[in-house]
Amino acid sequence: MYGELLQEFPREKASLSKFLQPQKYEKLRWIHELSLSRYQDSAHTLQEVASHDRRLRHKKLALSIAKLSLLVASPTTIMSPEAESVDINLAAINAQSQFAEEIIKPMTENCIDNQARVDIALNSLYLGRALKKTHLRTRVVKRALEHLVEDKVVDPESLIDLFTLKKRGQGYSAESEFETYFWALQVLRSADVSPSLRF
Amino acid sequence: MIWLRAYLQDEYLPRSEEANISWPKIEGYVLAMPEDEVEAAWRATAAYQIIRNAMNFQVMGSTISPFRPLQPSEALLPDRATLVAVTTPRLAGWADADIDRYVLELLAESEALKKWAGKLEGDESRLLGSLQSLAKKDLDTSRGLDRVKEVKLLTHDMNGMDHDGDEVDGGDEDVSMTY
Repeated sequence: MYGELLQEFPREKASLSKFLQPQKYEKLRWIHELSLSRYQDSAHTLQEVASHDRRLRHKKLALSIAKLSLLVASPTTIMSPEAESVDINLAAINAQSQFAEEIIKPMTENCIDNQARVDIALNSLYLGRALKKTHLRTRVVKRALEHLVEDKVVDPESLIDLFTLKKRGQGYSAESEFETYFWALQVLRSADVSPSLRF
Repeated sequence: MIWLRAYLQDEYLPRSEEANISWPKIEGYVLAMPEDEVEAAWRATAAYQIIRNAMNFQVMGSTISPFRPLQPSEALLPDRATLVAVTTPRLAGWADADIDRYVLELLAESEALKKWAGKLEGDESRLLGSLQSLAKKDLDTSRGLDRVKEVKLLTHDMNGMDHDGDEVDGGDEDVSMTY
């Protein structure tokens, strides 16, 4: 149905653009804008889509196409500030993906369900001398792990907690051991928070 | 907070783990151990790895602008009331008492960090300077190795043979991507 809506009425493109303006149609609007070669608009719409999407893969896909659209819109050798901002957001998403793929998945691949994955990750990576079950911070970490194993976007503060509260001794080298701190810095930079909120 | 948690990782290891990471202990090595072993000990610290990654990130620089990581003395928490105001929206669904307890936990962590940051204050710039210098040396070395590899790959492309005269199959070459 949506395919027909976007393709079957070539003379009504202006009306269709107007019709697709409300936020509820943003996932159609960017396709329509691309078909009209309005790459800058398409990139803006895709960034809005990404900001609302809680599924990590979808958010990454939307930002990646947004970046491609921006590159087409201004094909110079120097990247525009807007494309750089998309890149910064992609770096934060990649940090979460890498953490899930490289650290959580290998240790939870034989778990029967997501609850078991969360429990194993919490016990192996976090609970110890610095973080105990009775701490409320443990509840924050557990909630973040629940989102992570479900491939949902984890909020920046919780993601930074996941990256910086991880126990030492899981990596195969010092470099890989502390890569999570670097990821935490990337997430901090991508988070749209004022300096006073960065704790 | 990110930096200070890294410093804490370096300082407060469980005794059962490799305990050579403590900063004062590494500094103490300078008198007793060869330079390469002292450097290796520094390379195993969380603080060094953050600096190295951050510097590498700046040098890569093609699409992402450089950033300056916070110093320990810049990263302390605000007061309790501000913290409650900031934390409440994030912890939607939590009872007020739990939010208050969570904030007290953060403040307790902050106190530990302040103590550690206080210990560092005198030596902070000197230590960070030394670690930056070590990271620069390591990055220069790794870029040098990358250049050697690039030249070798170029030779592969031009000749279809590697420098030992073997056929190039390309199947087991590592490809590293940066962004």
